[in-house]
Amino acid sequence: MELTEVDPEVASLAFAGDLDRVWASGRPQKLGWMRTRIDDLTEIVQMPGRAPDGSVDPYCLRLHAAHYGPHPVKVNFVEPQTWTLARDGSRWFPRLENLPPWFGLHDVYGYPDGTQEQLVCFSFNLDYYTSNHSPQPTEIWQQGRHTVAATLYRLHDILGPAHYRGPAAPLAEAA
Amino acid sequence: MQTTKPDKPDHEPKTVHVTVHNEDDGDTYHLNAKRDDALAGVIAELYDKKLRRDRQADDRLSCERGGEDVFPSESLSFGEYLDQGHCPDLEWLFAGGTGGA
Repeated sequence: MELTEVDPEVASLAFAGDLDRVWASGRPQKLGWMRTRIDDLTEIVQMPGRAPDGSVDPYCLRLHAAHYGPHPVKVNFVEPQTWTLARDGSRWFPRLENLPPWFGLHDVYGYPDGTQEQLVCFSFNLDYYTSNHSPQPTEIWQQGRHTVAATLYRLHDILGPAHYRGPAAPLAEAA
Repeated sequence: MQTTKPDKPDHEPKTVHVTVHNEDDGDTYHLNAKRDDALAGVIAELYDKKLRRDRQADDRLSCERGGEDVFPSESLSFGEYLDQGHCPDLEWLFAGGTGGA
């Protein structure tokens, strides 16, 4: 499914406004999220993975908003500094278990257009809609009802102790 | 001669304050109820006046501290809910359905 990009000025205003609204609530700070602007349409959100043993590991989520508003942001786990896609086996790719039926994480996924790339598979990620998935009516992204908040809070849930089991590789091996 | 206001009668129901974070759009709502009120009334008000949508089977309403599902307790009064140790902060998280995997 090919999705039309939004006028960059419109998309960036909506994206920045919705992120600002989420941060103004004070919850991201309480949850340990940090936000770094890359450009008008791209932000990095650092979010902690919280394992059942109490250990905490930071993860970097790259949000790209070229289609934002009518569609969700594109979100990926990325490496710090370079912002390139994190690969399974690296410190920056989370190990997840006991996942709910509404979430999947693929290191490499074959998209219908032939692209082989990471897929964070849930209905508040743009890639979900370009990878031939069919959400139920109550699960589809709805502009006005859903914002980038939905993307971030679902990922916060996934990176919590019910599902998060640590990095795919220990920090020492990532050096 | 100095006069003082009489104390409120002990039987007057105390007000409780419920905070709901909407994890679909980042909004936060504040709702008030009496200890004698059932949770169901505040949940109905949440849908009617704040979320402005019908309740769906895959909606989630959980306690911010610990994640306990709120819906199974909706027939309890707030007094019972708090006395039984559910969600003492009365801070709830709302999330609609999500598809994936």
